[in-house]
Amino acid sequence: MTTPYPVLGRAAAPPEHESTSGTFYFWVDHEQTVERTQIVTTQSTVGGRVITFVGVVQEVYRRSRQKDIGEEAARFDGRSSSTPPFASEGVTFAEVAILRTDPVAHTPPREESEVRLATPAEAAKGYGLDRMKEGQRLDVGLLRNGGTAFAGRAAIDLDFLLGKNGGHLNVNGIAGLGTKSTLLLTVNWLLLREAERLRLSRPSDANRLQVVPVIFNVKNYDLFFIDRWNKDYQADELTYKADWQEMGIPNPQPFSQVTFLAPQQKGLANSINISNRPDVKPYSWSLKDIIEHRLFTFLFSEDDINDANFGGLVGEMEDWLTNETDAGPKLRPDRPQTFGKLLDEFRENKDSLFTDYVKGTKGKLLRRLKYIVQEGDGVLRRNDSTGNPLIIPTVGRESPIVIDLHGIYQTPSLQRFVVAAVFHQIMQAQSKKQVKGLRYLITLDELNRFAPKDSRDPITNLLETVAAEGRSQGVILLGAQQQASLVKPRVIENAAVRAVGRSGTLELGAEVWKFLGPSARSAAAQLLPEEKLLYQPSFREPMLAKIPFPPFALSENDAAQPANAPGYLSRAEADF
Amino acid sequence: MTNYNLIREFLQTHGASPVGSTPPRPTIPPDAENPEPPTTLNLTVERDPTDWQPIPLGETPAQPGEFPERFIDGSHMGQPVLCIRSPQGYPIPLLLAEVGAVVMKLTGRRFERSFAIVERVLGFVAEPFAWETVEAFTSALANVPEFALRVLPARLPDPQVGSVFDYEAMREQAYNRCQNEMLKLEVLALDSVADAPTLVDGQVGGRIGEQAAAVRPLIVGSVKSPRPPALHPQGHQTMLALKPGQRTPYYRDQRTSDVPLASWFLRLAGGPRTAPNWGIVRIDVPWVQLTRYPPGFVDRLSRWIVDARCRVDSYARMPVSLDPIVRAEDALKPLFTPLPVLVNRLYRAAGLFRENAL
Repeated sequence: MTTPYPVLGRAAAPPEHESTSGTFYFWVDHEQTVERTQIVTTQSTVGGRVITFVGVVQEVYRRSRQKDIGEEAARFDGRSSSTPPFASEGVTFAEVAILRTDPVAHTPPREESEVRLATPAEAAKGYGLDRMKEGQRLDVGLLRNGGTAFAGRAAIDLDFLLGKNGGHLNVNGIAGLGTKSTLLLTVNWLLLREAERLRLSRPSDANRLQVVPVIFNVKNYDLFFIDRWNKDYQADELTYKADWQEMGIPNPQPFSQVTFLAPQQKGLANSINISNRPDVKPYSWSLKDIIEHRLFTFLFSEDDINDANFGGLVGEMEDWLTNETDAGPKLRPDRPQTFGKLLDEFRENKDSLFTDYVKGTKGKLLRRLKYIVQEGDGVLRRNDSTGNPLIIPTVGRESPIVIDLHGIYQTPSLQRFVVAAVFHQIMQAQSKKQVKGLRYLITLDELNRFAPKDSRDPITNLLETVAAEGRSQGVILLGAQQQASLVKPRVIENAAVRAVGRSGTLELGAEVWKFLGPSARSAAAQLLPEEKLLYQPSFREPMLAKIPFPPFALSENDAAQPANAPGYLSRAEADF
Repeated sequence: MTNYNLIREFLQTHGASPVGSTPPRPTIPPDAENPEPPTTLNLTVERDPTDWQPIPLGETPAQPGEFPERFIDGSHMGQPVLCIRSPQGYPIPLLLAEVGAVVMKLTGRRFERSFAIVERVLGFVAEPFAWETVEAFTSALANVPEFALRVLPARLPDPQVGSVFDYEAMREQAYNRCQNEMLKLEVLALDSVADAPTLVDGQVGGRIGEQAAAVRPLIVGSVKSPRPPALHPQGHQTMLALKPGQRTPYYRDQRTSDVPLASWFLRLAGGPRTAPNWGIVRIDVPWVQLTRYPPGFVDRLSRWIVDARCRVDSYARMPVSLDPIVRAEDALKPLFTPLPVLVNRLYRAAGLFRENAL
């Protein structure tokens, strides 16, 4: 049993500061310091039962003894240079949101109860971490206990992340602070580690967790260096490693054996050049690949596809190109075999094809198709009959797959197409045959670009479907954006685990943030780069966590040269 | 017989009925609540009475030992709650009150509560009742944990002041008995700080004797509402003419049964809307102590007191209050139990709720 920490003050419930079953106040001993986000505990005897309350400090207030600003000035006779004979001696008090009561009791603590700083064990109970069974808890950082101290580890419940009681993780944060990528990648890293732990400890368990992490790179080529050491980490390794060690991870490593995929170059067999990395594989789709993966409608924009005439014509063209077989859809051999030929044939025979549609609609389809093929040339193979479509594995992996979208940033429609192609493939695979325990972890930043709030295009719809139904099929979206208010609400609302990094105050005033109380919203506007507010349905208040500094590089600038990097250890050698 | 039954028996036997607080009887002189002994004033000790003028205070600060470092305040909060009848038919109000005293210690610029005492008391004129019944009633009240009430027996009023059939006269006796108890607690508080210069809220007289004053550090009294003293006309004119930060000459107040004092009037605050006699306090220092200090002590102490004045507009008695005493009040009042809670407990013990007597 740990020794309780010193008394910080005592609960108080005067008028205007009455305690409730959710909130209480306490005044602070003048020799103690209380900070927002500290986790505190108190005990009261209510109705003969001793009840332990654990709560988090929402705000700390200071009140002077004066009634108004005039009295404050009067103490100095209005002269700031003078010093009154006696100190003001106001009172510091704190507002606490109750996280948990033990035993369960919907009642407030009694006034004058001693309030103490919670020990790590008490803090963990406050957030219900003691109720998580083995394999259910994922430690993701260190639990903040005020400005600089910690109260043990911060954890999330995998039942809420991976589909049993909820699914998906959504991260919000302003750009430039690494608030989002670090957490998303760290969660990937930790889940890979957990899957590996289970593989080693329960190799014959068919239900054990397996993961396939698919990470979309949306900014520069930052995520193409996650298999390299982070120079900043190396420069201060002792400090950063200490945080990992507090989390029970003695020797964190960069990702290993990562599969990097980037858009194929126009007219070439290679991917675009990314820092001369030879191990980056190209991805692309020929017309045949598009038909066989049922991706044809994803080539077109929202406005077009929702037009009944145009959408109908697209469907008819897809039918015209497709031969349904037992092995799935195939490109008919008697039809054009490349996008280029399709454009030629459609241009030449426009009048005789698809006669149910008027000339104007067909002209529109021709123009759209031409634009798509021109803009997407490279990723869409104009003159090749075969491409290098993204093939997502159907069994768990020990390493992530990084798919670049930045190389096609000038064609947002093509970016959305790539994302949709991956999701569509995974959803199709999972709906046909689920491997028990298999989870696809789809990491996608900038959700506002792929599922904008007011959009109804096929890709947005697909992301909405993934958010709503994906978890039951083992598809977990690890999404992020700078402004959740600009993302389709269904995508945000379906994320059972939410993380908030430092965010703008205007953004935090949006409707989507109503689940955070005023104090948490205020805190979210002042978070340090390494801090996140974590929320999941079992938390009564968000948990403030410090996410440990990553050992892997988050951009080329961060990346140590491979030659200088220590030899990679396998996970088994590193951690287990 | 249980404690509760003893309480009920006494109250029911004597026809207890609930009463509320009543305003003071207009005919009672206001000073009767705080009687001061007759005084003999020597107005010549600092200046000739014909030379009395307001004295501006200098800026010379008081030296250690010349200003108080401990501050004592007492409080008495109560009201009549029951009225019983004596065997002779006298109406006898029972005053339920809490009395207390507190000492604030000045450390640097901060205050700490270094001593506090609060007692719950029930004051009433007990003389007309048989000693055994009062004793049983007293013992029962003291032994009920939720009360821990101490009975304060008061004497019958002086026939020359009030009739025994006069409810207000009986109430006054009980009130004064409670007030005296508070003064006793203040004396207790004073004894706890015998080693440091101390300021008490109120008069020094009645709290310490001349011999005790001679051997202890400075003790200062600050009297908020001094009754008009027996000054000569120029003395009164001087007092009323005081401006903030001015004092009258000090005089020797030779009390017949108490400690001789050096006293003077000091205006703490003023303003265009302040009554001419408001904002003035009387400062008392035992005469035997005044002689210890070098010349200018009265000015330096007065300067210190003016600097320590309360500046909180929202405090009703701000113009005549000192900040340390307001702090002492703030430290003492929260120790009191809200009176309605105690009243209800007593009514319940008396069985008045059960009998729907309320």
